[in-house]
Amino acid sequence: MNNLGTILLASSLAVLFFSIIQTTYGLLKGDRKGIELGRLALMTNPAIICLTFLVLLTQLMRSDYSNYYVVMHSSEHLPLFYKMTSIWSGSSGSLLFWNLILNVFTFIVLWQTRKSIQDRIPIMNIILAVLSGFFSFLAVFYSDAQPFREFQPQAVAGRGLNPLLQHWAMIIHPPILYIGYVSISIPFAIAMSALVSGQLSEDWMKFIRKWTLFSWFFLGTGILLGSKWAYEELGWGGYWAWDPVENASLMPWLLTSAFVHSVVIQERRGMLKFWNMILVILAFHFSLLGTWITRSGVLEGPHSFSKSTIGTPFISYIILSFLFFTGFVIYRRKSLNPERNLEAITSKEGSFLLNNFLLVLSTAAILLGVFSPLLYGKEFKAPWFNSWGVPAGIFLLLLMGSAPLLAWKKGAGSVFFTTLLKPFFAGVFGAGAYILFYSHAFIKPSAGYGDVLSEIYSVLTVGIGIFTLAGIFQEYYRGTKARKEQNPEESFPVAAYNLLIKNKRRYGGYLVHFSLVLIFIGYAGNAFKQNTSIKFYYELSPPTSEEVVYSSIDKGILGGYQIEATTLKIKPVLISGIGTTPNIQNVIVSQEGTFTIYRGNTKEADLVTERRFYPQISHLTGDFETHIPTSEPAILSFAKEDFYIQLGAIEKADMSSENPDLPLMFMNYYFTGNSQAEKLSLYLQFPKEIVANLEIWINPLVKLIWIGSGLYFLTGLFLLLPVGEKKTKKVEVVI
Amino acid sequence: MNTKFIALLIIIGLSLGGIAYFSSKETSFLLLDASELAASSSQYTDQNLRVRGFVQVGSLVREGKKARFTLELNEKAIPVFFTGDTLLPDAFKEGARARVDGKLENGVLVASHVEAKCASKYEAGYAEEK
Repeated sequence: MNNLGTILLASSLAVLFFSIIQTTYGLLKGDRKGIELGRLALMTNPAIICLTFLVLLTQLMRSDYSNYYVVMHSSEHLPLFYKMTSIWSGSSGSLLFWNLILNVFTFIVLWQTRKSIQDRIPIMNIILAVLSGFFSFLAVFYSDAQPFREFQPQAVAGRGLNPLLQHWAMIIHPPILYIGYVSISIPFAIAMSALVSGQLSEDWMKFIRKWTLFSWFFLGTGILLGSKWAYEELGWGGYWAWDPVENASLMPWLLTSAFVHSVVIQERRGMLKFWNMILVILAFHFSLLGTWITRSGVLEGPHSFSKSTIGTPFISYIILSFLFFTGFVIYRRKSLNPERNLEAITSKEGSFLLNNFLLVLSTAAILLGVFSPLLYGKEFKAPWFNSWGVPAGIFLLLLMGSAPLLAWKKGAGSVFFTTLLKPFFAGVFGAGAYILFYSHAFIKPSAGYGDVLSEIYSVLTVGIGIFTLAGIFQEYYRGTKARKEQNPEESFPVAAYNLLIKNKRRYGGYLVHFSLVLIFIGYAGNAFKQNTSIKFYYELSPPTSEEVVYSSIDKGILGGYQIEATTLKIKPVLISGIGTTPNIQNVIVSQEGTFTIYRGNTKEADLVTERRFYPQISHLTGDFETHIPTSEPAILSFAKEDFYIQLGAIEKADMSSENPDLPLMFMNYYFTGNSQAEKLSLYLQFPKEIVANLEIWINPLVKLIWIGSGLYFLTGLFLLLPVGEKKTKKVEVVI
Repeated sequence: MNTKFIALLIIIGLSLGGIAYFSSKETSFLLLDASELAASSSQYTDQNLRVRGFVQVGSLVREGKKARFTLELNEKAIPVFFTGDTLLPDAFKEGARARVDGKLENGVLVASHVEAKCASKYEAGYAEEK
């Protein structure tokens, strides 16, 4: 199987090489047949990569331990589903996955352009072939990107899938994010083909706008899913840590967000042509950079792989490609001159420009933060990103609210009383109502300087958010009214529906704004976040089953909540589910704490939070190596806030020496000792008294983030799906 | 109009940049190896430091939540006092690889946060072999 995979990768490289040569030859000689042959060769490559992917997938499903990748990232004890998803848990597998997605998109775009005879299409083919060729090249020549390395002699066990990735969101999050990353290649290739060939007429603009929207949607959805996963799985009470890998996905999203706005200005006002080219180039290279950050391990972060051999060729490719295409933009700058200049700062164009500026500035700042450990040996913590990110975000929110209400060409003064006044008052009123609400519902932070600032930011965010919502509502209302005047036979809801469907770009865009406002208001709740750690004292209960049980009568209080500890169990959990025979390779040791939560006198729930210790198996001997701890927080969710707990470290009651290794003791107790007496003596070796730390968070308004995320997905999908809007001429004709 | 607009951009850029610059002193760590810190400790006072090294075998003394130990790398070592504001992680043991966040006071690294990886796990990691 390994040989088959390797041969397939080599043939992919050969086919792409052939395609590039053929297309170039055809272009130079003006030979249509040569170009056609190159195109057909490029269209075969997706089949080869698909086959390669299937080979690796089969090996993973069969737990073929002669393959290095399978040994390192999977194990026969995993459920089939996780065996399959481990294909994107490691470096070489995920690069192959990248290549696969790229080829699927390449095939689609080649199919769409199959009848086009424009001169720029062959150039697009070359760009895509070079890109895919680069990934195949890595997979053939660099050991860290080779998915089919032989493991000799065959390993005895697999090291298993990183337990953090054994979660439903982690199954769909990587592919969604990857689709987002990779699909930017398509609008990039189209735009660059126009740039290189000098055919800079606007008819391909719509096509790349659609593709960019596509990757913007997938990136955003991937990021939000990642947040949800972090919140539910990592057990640190938050959803965004400004970790390098998170930043890597945020940067292309910010750039594509900038692009989907600025492209409107180009279409409507003939401005920003140069800028849009730069944005497409930046977005594409930042998506490559994101892959590089994740896969080269140059920056130490929780997701990163350790230093790998692909780092240097990868970054060289990014830099060379970036310089080449940026050079071309500068070379063609004369044909990219704006048709008009800006006429007023507070006009619609002006606010779009400001939005672009802020998005790109934020991207640059994030880039600086990500690379500062390499550049000057400093590491920026999350508060640094927040220090400038929060005001920038609030400013962006203000632009999001006001841009739809402003007029083209004219300043805000001309429309202030007609469109801005009512939303403005709504915002002021909303901010006031929010102050009343939170001073009633949440406990104010202590009056330190930073806390007062975050309180102000929070009020500003909510006020401006409500201004934005009111503006959106007003736009809908006016649009619907105007539509009803033209079509008096339509009822109000029908008119509103038709308005949305017929002007999807405009009114659908407002719906995306709506979902983002919800997310922002959810973020604003962070100003009133509370966090503490409480120690609970437990005593060992007499043995009743194979579980080790501790019990407690301790209580703790945070905010309006009372937390009562009841039991803490140490128990086995089988990786592949109930029914299989337990052995040292497939038993997770779980420390499971149960806590009863009261609000006032009413009992709200029994919350169960765990720390799980996954066995790390040596692939050479099949023996137990060590435990990998993961967290399983428990969340009690109310409309206004989440009550979030996570079991932490367990100490000896006198806290004298280092913490006892309870998971290892449990393994010992569970797997050895045949007679009752032996079991009992092992049971009694557990410490009689322990102290467990419970981390507790109260996270206000978090629910709005998840509602907003869901809405982002739905509205984004609505924008992408071919419903509504008059069907334009067929795509083939458009490009 | 373009000049006015550019002036506005500059003002926004400068103010955000200013916030970022002035907050960076408190919100960033200088990354150091224990050996670098031990070699020239005087120049690193009054800064947030994140120091990498190994917990020297035989140096760890726990006092309730607080702890004293020595962080070493390449035979150079720096004494650490852990304040106990947070918890020491489970993997924190003598001989473990540790990352210590703190400030240098009178030649002692006063740390409020420690992260650790036990040596064997670090090597195994999730990484592919070189």
